[in-house]
Amino acid sequence: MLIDREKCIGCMKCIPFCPMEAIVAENKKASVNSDRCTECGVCLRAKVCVKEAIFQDKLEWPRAIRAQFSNVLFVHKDIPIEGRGTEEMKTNDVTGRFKEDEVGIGIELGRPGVGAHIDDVEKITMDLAKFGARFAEDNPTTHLVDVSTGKLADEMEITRWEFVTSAIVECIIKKEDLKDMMDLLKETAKDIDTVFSLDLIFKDTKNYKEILNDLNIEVRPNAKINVGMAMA
Amino acid sequence: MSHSLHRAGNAEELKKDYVILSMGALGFNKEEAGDKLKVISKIFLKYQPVNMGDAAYGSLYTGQTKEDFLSDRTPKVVTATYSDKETVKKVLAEIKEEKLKVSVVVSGLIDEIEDIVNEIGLEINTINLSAGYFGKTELIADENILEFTTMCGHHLISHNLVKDVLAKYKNKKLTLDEAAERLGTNCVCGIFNLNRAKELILKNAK
Repeated sequence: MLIDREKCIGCMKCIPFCPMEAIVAENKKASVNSDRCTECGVCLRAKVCVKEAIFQDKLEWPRAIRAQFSNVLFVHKDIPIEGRGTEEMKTNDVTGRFKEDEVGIGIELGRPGVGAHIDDVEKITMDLAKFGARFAEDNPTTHLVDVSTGKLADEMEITRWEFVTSAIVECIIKKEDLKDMMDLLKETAKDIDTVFSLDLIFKDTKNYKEILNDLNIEVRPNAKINVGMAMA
Repeated sequence: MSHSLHRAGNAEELKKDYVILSMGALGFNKEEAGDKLKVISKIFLKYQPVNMGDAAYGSLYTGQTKEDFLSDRTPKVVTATYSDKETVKKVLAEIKEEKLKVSVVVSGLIDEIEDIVNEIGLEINTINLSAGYFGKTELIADENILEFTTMCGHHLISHNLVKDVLAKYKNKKLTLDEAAERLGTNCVCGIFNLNRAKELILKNAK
């Protein structure tokens, strides 16, 4: 995203809209810090600029990956799901993707509101690959890595220092590996330059509280629940 | 992706905040889901959602109208936001009556959703739980800001915008409705709960 300095009148009204604090004041005009901008499109969609000084420039590879991971209206060329999302457990009553003896893992790098470099994605995928994780095929993050090692694929190395609003690693592991995986993740968390939100998905909806208690994970009062409507 | 999973707040506040989502499954029933999602959209609208959206088109607060959701276009991933358990129960019961065989996900208080599911004769298939934040957590905004920003699952509502809106409301430069709408217009999927946002604005203004 860019701001046309000729059109900008320096009102600075666009600055608070940027989730990544990429719009800054510079010589009495608003300016986009290209390193911080994730091409999410929020500033443009907000129509906050009365002079229409904000505009989307043509995104070339590898910068285009920022929009793939950050612009909610972008649909990945290999993953025809709107909303930048995957189906994970949302359609499990149809797909049967998650089994009773498994746990679904979602690691949302950069959320909430911090952003992440692809470099940190690799640290997490390498951890998960050690447990034989089955990475979600319909997830753009999976397309970045060699799923057997979790390392960035050679052709994706060029994206390593691209910055995105969030990158969500999704996979399935055996329930029996959850504790060891959590221990490793906590160690890796000390070595990343961002934050991540952790999602745990259970098909076994009877015993999850006990499992979380054993892991010293607080059970939040709210959750996302597939209510089995497709089976009704 | 995580959609409405990490909504911050205590149980009392979350009692007034539910999101329902429906979509077809790629490779299974996505192709024929369009018409079914139209039926669901109609049910959503009948019960007057606080917000409503479709990830492919936008929300009631990003330029979409109620008529748009009932038009000839093909719905993709439809969502609606409600502020009370009883309405959610009615919506789910009516969807069940239609026997559409399409997936529906509800985000909200676990105990309340379990009650609803039992009362209308559904069976929980899968549960997705928020297990907290890791890494450089010092970079995360304060809880009172997260209560707003996590109501957009894609985190498209900036913490600075929340602060800006709160300040403008306090200084009487925005009304309560305007303040909530200024935040809600950034959430494309329609899961930002404007009623809850208004309560949060009032709480923060004290």
